[in-house]
Amino acid sequence: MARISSVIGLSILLFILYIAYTGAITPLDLILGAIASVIVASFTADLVVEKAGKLVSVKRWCYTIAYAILYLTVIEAKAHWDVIKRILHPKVPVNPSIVRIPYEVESDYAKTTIANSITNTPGTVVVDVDDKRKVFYVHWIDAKVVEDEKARKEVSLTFEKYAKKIFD
Amino acid sequence: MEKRLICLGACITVTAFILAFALIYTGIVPLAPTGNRPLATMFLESTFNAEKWWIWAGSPEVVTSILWDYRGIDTVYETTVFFLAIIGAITVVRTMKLLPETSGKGKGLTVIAKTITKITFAAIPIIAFSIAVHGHLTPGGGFQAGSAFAVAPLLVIAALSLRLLVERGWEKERLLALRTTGLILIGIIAIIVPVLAILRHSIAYIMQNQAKLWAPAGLSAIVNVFGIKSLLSGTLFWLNLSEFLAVSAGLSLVFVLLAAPTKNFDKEVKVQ
Amino acid sequence: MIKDIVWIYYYASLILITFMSIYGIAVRPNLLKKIIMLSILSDTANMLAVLLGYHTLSPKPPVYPGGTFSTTQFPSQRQLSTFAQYAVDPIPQVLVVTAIVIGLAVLVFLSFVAVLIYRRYGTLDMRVVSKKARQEVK
Repeated sequence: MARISSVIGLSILLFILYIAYTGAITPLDLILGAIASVIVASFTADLVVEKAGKLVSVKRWCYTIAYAILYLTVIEAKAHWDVIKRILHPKVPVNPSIVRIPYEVESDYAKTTIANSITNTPGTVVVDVDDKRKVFYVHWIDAKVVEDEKARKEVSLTFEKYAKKIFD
Repeated sequence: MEKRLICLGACITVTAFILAFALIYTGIVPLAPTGNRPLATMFLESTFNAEKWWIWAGSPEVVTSILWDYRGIDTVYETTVFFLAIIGAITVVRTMKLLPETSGKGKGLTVIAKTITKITFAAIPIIAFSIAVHGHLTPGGGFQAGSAFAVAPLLVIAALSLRLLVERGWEKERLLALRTTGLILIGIIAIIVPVLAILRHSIAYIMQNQAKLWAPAGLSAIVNVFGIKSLLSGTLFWLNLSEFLAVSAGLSLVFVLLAAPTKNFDKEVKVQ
Repeated sequence: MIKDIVWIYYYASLILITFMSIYGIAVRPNLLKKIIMLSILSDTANMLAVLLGYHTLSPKPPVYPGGTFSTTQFPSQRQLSTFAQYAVDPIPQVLVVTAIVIGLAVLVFLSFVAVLIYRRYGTLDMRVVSKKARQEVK
């Protein structure tokens, strides 16, 4: 049962991807896309989907959309503006260092979300992950604080809050 | 030593420029042409021209039309050459086991790379399928789609492991069987129009797509699929689909074989 | 004038890459580097072929635009002749697709031959391999 629902959930996502990539909604496209996405989903669902219940939860999808809007507009704009100021400033005020940032999420997707959110904002790059000690090693262009918890508050607390709600 | 290399580089550069000048000013290659050659214009005008139905291919994609219709047999032989190269590659490693007996103790890549690879492993086949079925409508086709598909196993081998791929059924024999199925399907589609023509007491060529004046048999460009009128361009759609199957299985097979650990090679040498 | 210089630069750089890859095939002793250089050589030849099909009259891809599965209206003669005027030459592209597949076949076979040679002689340095092979013959 869990397997069937995970296949259905994954094939809907793949179908959306097919239509978005193809860029045409003709009846034959819908048929071919549905067949292909069900086949591919039935082969890859056990690898990709961790828990089928999470995939069909409406609450998690609402949080995903909210996070996407917040991240792509407010957080990205702030980070870009910060780095642009640093580049155009005549003195180039950078204070680079590698800080340790702990995390408290469990699933692989949540970890990946946090790490990619940190990397995608300009100024911070995840260099390595330590699964046993549950920390990211992050290169930060302007390290205001180097203590673990304080750096976490500065860099990744918002990402972690949403990642926990979406994936954990 | 360094002086010699610098001299050689300078000589080669000067020669290249002189050759380029010579090629252009003897008229062998064109200098910024502003129009097509007559042959290109002929192909571009007749491929999707329903009024000249005796030389059309029924597809808006001129490249695919030439590839699978006007020069179809050439492409079949090209696919065969690729198949023979894979057969040769398998001959080299025919008795070798793909996996080591014990699983590796390596740490592998980080959780980020592994998760993203899992997502792309599901997403790439869908994109490749879209490229394949729209091969007669938009740029792309069977070979391009197969190459795109083969990236998925390559990424899994690099980021996760070969063991995972083989245990999920990507075995040597199965991939070779899929590859052969693709080639057989291409062969069947190549002779399907002549067979239909013979049944109707008419004639047709091998790899013929649309009807000609002197060979009035062919699959129609617009087909009813479940009651929906769809532009499948005769054989082009099916040829692209078969080529997609053949190339994706063949390239995945090559990647799986190339990723097999060299320790297994050494064992084979000792046995012999 | 500037257009002329740009086009001479295109052809000259392609010829230069051809020379360099031939140098690599002939001089580098490592078999893997030879194979890489061979693939660069074939790519350069393909690039040259595609460049021959290009024209500067606001070029478009050789695909009649707007085709989907539910296209049932075929274009008129006038639309087609406009399309034929602006689309680039499709024939070099077709030849290049064929050539890429053949090049890939050659690449696959050569890489497995390299695997075989490494298995037999324990090295990919062709100087050492030829020396060892000569000793075997004696």
